[in-house]
Amino acid sequence: MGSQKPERVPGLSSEGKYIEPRFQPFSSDAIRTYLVSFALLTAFIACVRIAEVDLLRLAEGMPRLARWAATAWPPYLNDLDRFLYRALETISIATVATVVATIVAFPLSILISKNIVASNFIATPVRAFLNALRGIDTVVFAILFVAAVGLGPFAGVLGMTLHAIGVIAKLNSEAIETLPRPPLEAVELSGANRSKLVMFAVLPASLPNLASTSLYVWEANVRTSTILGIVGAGGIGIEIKAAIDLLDFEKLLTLTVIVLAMVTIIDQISAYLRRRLA
Amino acid sequence: MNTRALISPIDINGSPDGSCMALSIRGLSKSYNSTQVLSGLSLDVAPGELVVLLGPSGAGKSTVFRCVTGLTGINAGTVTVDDHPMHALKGEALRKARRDIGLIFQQFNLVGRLSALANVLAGRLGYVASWRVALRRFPQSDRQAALASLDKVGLLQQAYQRADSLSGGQQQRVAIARVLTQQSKLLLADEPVSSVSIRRGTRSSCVDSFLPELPVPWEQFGQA
Repeated sequence: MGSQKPERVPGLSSEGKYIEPRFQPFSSDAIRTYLVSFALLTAFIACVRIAEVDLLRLAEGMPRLARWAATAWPPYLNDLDRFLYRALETISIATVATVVATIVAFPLSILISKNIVASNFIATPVRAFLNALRGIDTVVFAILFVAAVGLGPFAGVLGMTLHAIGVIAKLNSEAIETLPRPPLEAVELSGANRSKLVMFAVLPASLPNLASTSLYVWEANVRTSTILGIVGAGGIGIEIKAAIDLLDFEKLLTLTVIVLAMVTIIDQISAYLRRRLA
Repeated sequence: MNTRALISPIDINGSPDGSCMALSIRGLSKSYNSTQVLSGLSLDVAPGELVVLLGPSGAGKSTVFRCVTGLTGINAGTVTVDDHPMHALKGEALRKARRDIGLIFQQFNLVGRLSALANVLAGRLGYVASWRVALRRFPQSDRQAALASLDKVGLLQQAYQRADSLSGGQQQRVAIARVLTQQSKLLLADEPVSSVSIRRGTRSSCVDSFLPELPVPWEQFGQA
């Protein structure tokens, strides 16, 4: 960067041997490396202090965790039907939110794709809006909607949809921006306007990418929606919170297994479908 | 490219003001960054006339076509296509003017995931309503024209195949069919048959399909 430095190159001795440059501990390069390493290390230590990392407390807590783990067996299976219904609720929240977000996100992703809409007049505010949606987490939105529309999965759907719109639109626009230009030009040359170009060329050409993005977000949403219940926004998280509050580890074990199974199955389905699309 | 690289079997000077011309270029200059590609190119093409641009690769032949269609802005000069001042048009006016120009690209430029027929129908996009495009409901007359074009280039059997499943030569013939369907007044062809197989007669029948009334036998020009 900046000034041009002589490059390190292997030399050649008079006997025809290659001579490699020796490491110079006080060269400006070496000193810069020391300074950067020191700064990074200091920053990490500061983070450890601020996060109140305390290994002693961990050591004290471990036996407690072990005791609880021992009391978790045998798993509590009497409420299995209710737990499974809650798991279904979790999947439903994620599915509704992802489908709605996919539909809403597509036109927005067109507006922020530089190769389709060249003007920043529209793209900049839309991009800022989407950044805000992406920056605010699903759980934060969910807390807001629990207050606005009351407890239950619907609040979760609303919160998750908003965040997912931001994520999907951003990923879609990146896929659209990498579409090869020439076929789009050919369609433009027929005299097609922007909307025809989008419907006839951009949408079919980017469809596999768009579908893959939505499947990926759906998979992530199922994982996220397991914790929505903790803030009262529906799903299996409600049961998890109740079990933890009551230190009911038999129930907690059942719930953990259900969550793991659910997430694994959804991941597999999503991965399979995305492979098929590729 | 300098104008000397431009060879035509027909007088390219045309009328002094370029009026009544299918294509009239005056003093066209174009540079990419610091590379001057075209400088002071002037060219007239009369209705019904065939002009061939010859030049080594990198000479700027494709750039001429991009400037004529308004795909690329120009640095100086004027480009007039059938009374449309292409260098000055924007938006709706540019889209209308483009309907009169057919361009066969060197690289076919099909939408790979659409069928051959859909790609050919793209030639009608400038004319059909947006709702028809959204629902993929092209007027029957357009569909007939598109199928006729596919038939003309010998690809009727492949009409419903996805474009990216076709061979290079077939894709290029789809691109030719697309331009035929557009029914433009000016036809630009950027090495239109470079990928079509040289099997006896194939190339000539392909070229014949879009150049029905050649003033001179096309074989004379070779690949251009």
